[in-house]
Amino acid sequence: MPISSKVIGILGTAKNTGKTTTFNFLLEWTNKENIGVGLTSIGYDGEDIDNITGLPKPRIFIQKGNIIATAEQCLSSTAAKLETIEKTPILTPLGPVLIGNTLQEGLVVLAGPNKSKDLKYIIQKIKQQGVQIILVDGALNRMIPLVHCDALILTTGASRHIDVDLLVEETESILRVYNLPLREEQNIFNQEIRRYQHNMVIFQKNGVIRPLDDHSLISKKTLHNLINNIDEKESKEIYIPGIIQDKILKEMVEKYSELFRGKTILIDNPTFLLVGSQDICHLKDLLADMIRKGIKLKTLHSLPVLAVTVNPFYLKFHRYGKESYEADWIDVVQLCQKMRSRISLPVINIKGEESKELVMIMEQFLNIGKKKK
Amino acid sequence: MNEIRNKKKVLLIPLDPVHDVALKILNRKLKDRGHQTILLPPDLPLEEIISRASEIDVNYLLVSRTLGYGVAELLGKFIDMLDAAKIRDKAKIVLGGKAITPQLAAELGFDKGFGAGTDFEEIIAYLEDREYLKEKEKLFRKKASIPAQYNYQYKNNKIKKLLNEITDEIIQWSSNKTSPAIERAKLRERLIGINKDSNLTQQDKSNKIKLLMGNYLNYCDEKILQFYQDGKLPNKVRTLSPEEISKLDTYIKKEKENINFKKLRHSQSLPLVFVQYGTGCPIMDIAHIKTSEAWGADGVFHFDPSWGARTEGFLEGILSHEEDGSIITWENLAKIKSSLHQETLWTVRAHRGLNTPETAVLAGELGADLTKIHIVYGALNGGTDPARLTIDGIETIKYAAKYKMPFDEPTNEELGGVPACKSFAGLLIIADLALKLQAQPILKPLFCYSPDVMITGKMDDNYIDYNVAKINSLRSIIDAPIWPGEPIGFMTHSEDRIQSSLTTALHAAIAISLKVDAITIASADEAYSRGPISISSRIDTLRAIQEVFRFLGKAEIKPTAKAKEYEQEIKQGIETTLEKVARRGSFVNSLYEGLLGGPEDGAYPGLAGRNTIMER
Repeated sequence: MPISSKVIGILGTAKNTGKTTTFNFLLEWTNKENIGVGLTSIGYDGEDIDNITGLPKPRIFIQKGNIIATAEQCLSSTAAKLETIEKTPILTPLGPVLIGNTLQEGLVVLAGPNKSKDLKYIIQKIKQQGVQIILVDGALNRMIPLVHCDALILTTGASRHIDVDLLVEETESILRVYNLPLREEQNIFNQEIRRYQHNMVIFQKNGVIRPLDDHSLISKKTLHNLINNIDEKESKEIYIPGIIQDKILKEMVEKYSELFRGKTILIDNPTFLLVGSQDICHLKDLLADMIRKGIKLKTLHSLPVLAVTVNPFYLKFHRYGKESYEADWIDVVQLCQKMRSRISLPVINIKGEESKELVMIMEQFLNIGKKKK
Repeated sequence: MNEIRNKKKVLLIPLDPVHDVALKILNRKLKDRGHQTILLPPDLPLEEIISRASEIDVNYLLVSRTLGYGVAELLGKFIDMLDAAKIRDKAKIVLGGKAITPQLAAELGFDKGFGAGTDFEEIIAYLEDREYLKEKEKLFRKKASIPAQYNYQYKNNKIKKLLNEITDEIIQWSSNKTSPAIERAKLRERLIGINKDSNLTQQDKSNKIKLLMGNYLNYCDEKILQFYQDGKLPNKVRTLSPEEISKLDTYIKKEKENINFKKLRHSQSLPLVFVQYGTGCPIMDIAHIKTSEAWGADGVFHFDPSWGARTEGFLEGILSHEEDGSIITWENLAKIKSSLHQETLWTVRAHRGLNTPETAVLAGELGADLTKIHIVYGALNGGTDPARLTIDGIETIKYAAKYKMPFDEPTNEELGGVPACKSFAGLLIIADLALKLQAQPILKPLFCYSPDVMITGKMDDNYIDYNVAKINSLRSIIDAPIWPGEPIGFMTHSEDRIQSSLTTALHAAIAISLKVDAITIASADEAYSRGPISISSRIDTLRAIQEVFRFLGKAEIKPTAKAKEYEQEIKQGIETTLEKVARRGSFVNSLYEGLLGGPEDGAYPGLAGRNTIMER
């Protein structure tokens, strides 16, 4: 029984980018191939009607033996027969999260832990059930809880932007952030960093560590506080455990490039830069500018993106008049073409032929491709 | 201030550009509870909020935001930022706003969600880690004892002395007399006792009942005899079918399970609000009762048909009557009692007819909270012979004392034209009589546009002064509960439902302002329904009353200087009337001779039951 299960998170850039459709595709594949699977969601998935738009949503159909983590109150709207393995202390607005085993196939509503610390806990609980893969369905545009996954599948589409060029540009930026170099140096700072989860820290060349009061680089005040503590010659690395706002990072790069030249800005996780950014499309330009100016940006933890799935579907909102949503689609062929021309990762229309490609990627990731042949 | 020990630090975040009123209210309420709060200005950028939130250690972040296009994503991003900034590990994040549900809060990543219409108390309970008790469960419906806080002490010695003289004479006069009604009441007590006796066999029971019923019929009218002897029911009366009764039982059960009570009063604890039922049909009555309870009424009144007051004896069974007034039988009353919420006050009126004592026995045995007795009104405007009703009334007051049912005394003879001062003299006589018999009387002056004030012009300017004067004059005489009736605003209603509801509400405003103990209100169509009153009209006035409670709060209505003048006038009139009755030396003869209201006042001694008094 393989215990070292891998956790795949489905990260969306917005609602209706195809998170649950991708999730269902992977679930169906694992069940067909008899791969032990555990499931949860950081949102609320599997009900027929969307909480916000009032429009139909994809349901989630589970098979015997699937392990699930969902809130207690979801059981009343779940048709699959479940056996509760454990009632965890993790609370959600829909009650505590339960770990369950599927006794009989059927539809299920998933609402699991919705904060990162809780997801980490629940992942450990599901892992104890000896599954090979854990699928975590995302929610809206939420990213942070998914930092506890081993890899991501990025879903995006017309629901995020109907302008394909903008969409491609943004996707490129996101992937660039997830490709930030990992800090690989092995020195005294490695252990020290763990102690500073709540403060920014400046590491000096002589081994001295200077903790700051702030946690995130989020305002001009925090930037000035950092600048006041930087020693042009002696400071070597700056560790930021919290959010990094693109606007502030840009100001740092543009106004204080001399001060930061040759130094490393170390962030905890690529997602922390994304969540602080208002202009994700132009992040890739900012990262290029940093390289040009000799300011290194590295990450402490990496989180590989395995593939990008795209969805041409979006909801037109009628603001005036009936104030309701209506389904519409953009040209999926053009979307995929443009995306592929700029992105090296596989770009998949989950409802199209190329979805098989996702299976290959997954087999490779789980290292089970050879065994199958 | 109601401070609590477990103080919380709360950051209130109006993410909405405009809708921050709810958070401001919550801010005030939390401060009142002793919590430390910080209310951010509306519409700050997310980064600014995160930045401020990281600087202070709070237990809760309360975010308010109405949902709209793209708002879900904005809230998702906000939650992610809080998570990344490690604020989520330290504080709970709560979302409130229109269209928020627990499902949506889960989807957006919040710890808790509160939607539109949430009671602020529910949010506060959550923040204080307490269980929230819904209004429904809070039992604000608590049965109150109306006379509990009164000592019935006189404040006017002269009147006290006169009353003492008059009521001594009444007791003396009645001591050796009885009536068919009193004999029936005694038999009824024994019949109920036999039915309850578990030591008797079924055979014994039916033998004894047969014997007692034979005796009972000796004291009954032809109408009642026909029923028991030939099974013939009076005109327009029928027995409900077993199917109808079974459906009614299902309806009662369902209503009891699902009922949700509205709160009628606002910041006041008084007055209690009563409505009357008496549609003729127990099914319709119960629908009215359940509706009234749900809309906040504290108590309900049973009204019987007017022919019931002129008929010696009671029928039997669950009976429906095609006209106004629901027939009093043990079974009808028991069915109605079974439909009542445990905290609803139940009054069965016994006051005016030939079955007065027996009604009190039925009411008392079935657990009624209150009854209604008034000899003077029943004798002068209710159609019962004065001597007979005096004898019956005394016995009924004794039953009220035995069953611990306080009773109200409606001075409805005012509606015929009797001036308030004369009717109040009668009211006080019966109250004093009750006190001597260890019962608890409730004074019921009318809030009405009476013929007397129409003639004398005392309400030409406003409806306030004279009504205030009536209450204050009684309060200056005795410390007793006061319950204006019946219904308030009598003779000011029209067939226009809005006008009717409004005039009821305005009269309630005077009652609230005067802090009286209870009021009885009409439905909006009661005066002109030309048939059974409608449920929607019933709700009209309950809603109107609720609004006036909210409107007035603890504020008061100020009468003009005239009120004081009228008050003196009424008091003087009461004294003069009592002096005349005392001088006459016979209460019953005073009634016959019009000292408490005569033909010139529209009052005529009743004929029903004349010459039926028997020696004991």
